Amino acid sequence: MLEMLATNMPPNVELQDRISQFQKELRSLGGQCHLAAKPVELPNIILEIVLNANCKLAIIESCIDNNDEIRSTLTKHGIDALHIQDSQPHTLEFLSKADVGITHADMAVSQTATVIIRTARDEDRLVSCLPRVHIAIVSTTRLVEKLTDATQYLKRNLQTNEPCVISFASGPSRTSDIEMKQVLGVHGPHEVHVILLEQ
Amino acid sequence: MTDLKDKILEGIENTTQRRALGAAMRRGRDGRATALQILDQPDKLRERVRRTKEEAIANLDALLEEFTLNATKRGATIFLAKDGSAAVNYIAEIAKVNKAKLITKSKSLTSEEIEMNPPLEAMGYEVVETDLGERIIQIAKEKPIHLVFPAAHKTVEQIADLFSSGQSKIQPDHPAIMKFVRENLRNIFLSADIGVTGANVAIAETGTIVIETNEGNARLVSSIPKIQVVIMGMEKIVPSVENAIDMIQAHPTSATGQQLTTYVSFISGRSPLNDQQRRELYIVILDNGRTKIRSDLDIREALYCIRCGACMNICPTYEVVGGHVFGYIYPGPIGIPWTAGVHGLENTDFAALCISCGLCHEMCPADIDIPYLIAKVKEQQNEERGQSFVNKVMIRSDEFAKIASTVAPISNWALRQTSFRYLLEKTLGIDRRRRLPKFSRGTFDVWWSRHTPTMEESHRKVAYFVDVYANYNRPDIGIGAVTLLEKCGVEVVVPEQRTSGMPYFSYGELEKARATASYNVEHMLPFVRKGYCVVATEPTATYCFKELYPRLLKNDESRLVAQHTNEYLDYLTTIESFKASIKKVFSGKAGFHISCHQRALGKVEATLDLLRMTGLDVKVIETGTCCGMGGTFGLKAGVLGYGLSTEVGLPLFELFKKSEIEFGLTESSVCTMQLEQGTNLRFDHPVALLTAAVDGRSEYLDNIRTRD
Repeated sequence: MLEMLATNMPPNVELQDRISQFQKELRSLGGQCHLAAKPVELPNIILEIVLNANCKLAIIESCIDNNDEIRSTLTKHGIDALHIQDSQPHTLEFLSKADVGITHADMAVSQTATVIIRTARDEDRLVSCLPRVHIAIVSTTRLVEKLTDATQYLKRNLQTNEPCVISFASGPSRTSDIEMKQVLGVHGPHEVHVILLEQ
Repeated sequence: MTDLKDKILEGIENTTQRRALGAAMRRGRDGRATALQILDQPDKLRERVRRTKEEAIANLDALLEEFTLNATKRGATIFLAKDGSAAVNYIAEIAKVNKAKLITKSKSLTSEEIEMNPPLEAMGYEVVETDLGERIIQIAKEKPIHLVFPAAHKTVEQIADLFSSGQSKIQPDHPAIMKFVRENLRNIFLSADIGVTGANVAIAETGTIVIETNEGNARLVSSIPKIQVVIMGMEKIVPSVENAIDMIQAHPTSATGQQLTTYVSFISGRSPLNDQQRRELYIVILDNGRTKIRSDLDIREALYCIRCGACMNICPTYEVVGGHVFGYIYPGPIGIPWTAGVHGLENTDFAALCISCGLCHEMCPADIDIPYLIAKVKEQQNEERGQSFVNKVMIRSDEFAKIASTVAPISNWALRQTSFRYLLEKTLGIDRRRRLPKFSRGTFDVWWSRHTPTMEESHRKVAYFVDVYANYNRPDIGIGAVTLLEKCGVEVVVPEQRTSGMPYFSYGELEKARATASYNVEHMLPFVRKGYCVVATEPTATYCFKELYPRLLKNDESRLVAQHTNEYLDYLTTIESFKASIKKVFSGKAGFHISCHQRALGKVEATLDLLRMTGLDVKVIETGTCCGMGGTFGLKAGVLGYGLSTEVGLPLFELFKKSEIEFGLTESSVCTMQLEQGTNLRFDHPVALLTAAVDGRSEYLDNIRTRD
């Protein structure tokens, strides 16, 4: 996994600049960015988002490291939280009922406010597709400036022999198909939160 | 053609559609302009996209093999479909074997191309489009009006009606419709047996399919059903991940002005979902005429299209009539060569709607010479069914100008007689409503034959290209052009020449266009080799030398002449002594119109500065697109000519009328004709104005304002 994540971080733009650019771009796309100084802060940040969005059922993707703490924090506040692996065989049912999906992201791109999520199983992919709120957690060490900074990452991961899907997501789902008026939240999440974890 | 004319009239009269479509196109144009400012070196990206497509199409066989190998390694099944029915039959067989009932689709223009839904529906499968725009079109039983905005012509009321059924009325507002669509489609997504997606890009080195969406529907279509079918044109394959990253940026910047679409999915094989046993991925790679397009090097670049829709966002006649008239299944400018290639020449009547403004080429993120591809389609049409009489007349308009000039002023009198104009319309097909410019008895040619050029050796040398208008209608422009240069010590010659030949190109007479190009290049060449610069006072002529002739002739000579060709006023801006000679004798406001062919030549700022030195307040007045004249197009009688031309021009006419200018300036003779008639203002050529300013004739402005 670590080797797959290895990338050449561009030295030209300082991390703080990338963070502020990511925040600004995500905001302009209708998403929200949060900063976590340490992993222990994650459960409470997530809880706040979940409460504000009035979520009752949360689904957590399999790549989230400290998902037990996240789950117990949410449960303590009356929110059902389920690990995706525990949803079988009713995964689709749970996913379509869930209000919020919590996932990792391998990388983030500040210029376009994109999170990059690699999934090897489609139930993991659906965690960021079906619920109306999507929370993605990404380390600031994985925050790059430009799309092209993700080239090597993409190449390495797409060249493995196992099937996989790499998803770029930049802000909430949207359409302008009716009278060119932009509306957020069509088939994908209406609300997107990205938590940048400073490490 | 009668059918086409009826459809044009319907389009013109459908004001609701025009307003909606116009708004969509403006948004596309403005979005693109903004995105290009944000993008890091947009020109470089354009070059890379062009090169990637060139190389990919050149090596298509090898790339197909590489893609197939790599996709198969990850469990995908590849099927090469030679045409639409092979593709549809294959997909139907998959549905049958798997006892499918419900098929969900994300947006796929390729599936529109092969008209996949009706036969599948006839076999009893329920096929549901999940992209909102496509869903609207599916329920309305229409074809997309635009590549990127398929339902751009529908109002919120019409859409609410479409989604309403007996029991449930949907409110005509965005949130209500969105809520309905989301809930309505949710169950369909979850219970689909097969998901059909398109592909924006396919990566050979990894066997990956790349899908872009904003709504997120393709993610659901590609993940939930047991079976995923990808339908893609064979031209979508690029060699590497690097190429794909360029493509996913070029596409949305040109389509909607986004830096990226909200979602981009790189799908490498089919991922498992829980414990489902069979999770299959079929990739149908469609030929359907593409190999034939590829084999003809002259039109091969049609395959470089990345389906961004930018060419239709700038197309002046498309804006009036929309993609249901200006299109078969593929709409807009690039739709013309594509329709010829995949749906056959018999479906390309709408090619006549192209008025050769050339703006689509300027917009194309893959630098496709769309005007040339369209001219090739027109050429094939001519070979098949002959050139229309009225087009033959238009092609020979320079000969008519010569005759009219010889018999002037009688011709001018006659051209203002209703009965004569009626006769002209009946016999030649020139619309009687079109106000024609006056012809001059004295021509530039005669003046030049009596003129003694300054014989001094000069390091500045110009070979002047006159064209029709500055010869037969306004010789003062040609004479002024030569005189201004000579006054600055520039040596001027007027080599043997024909007219620019643009009408040949516009009406698909490519052999004749080539002959004219060849003649003009041949006669300019010796001078260019001796250090002369070719200049023309007609932007279309400059455009021909710089852009069109090299495309037509594809030789070093035409490229050399092109390199040494300059727009007349651009050339003047380089002469310091000329600037010093301009007297500030005028005051007042003038509006400048940039002709389409001048746009292709570059910025006009330096020209405007020159004109402002006369004391005039000059500003550009523009809609960003064409005035509608389209060379000789606006002369032609009826709706496929004067009628449509005027409709195209209306927004620009309005801007001019509201602008509080006293008169207009433009270098193009045909735009002058169109704008004078449309705005009731007088227009003049900048050379005439500058000549007066250098001579200190301040009364010249009154001449312009009062000229009839």
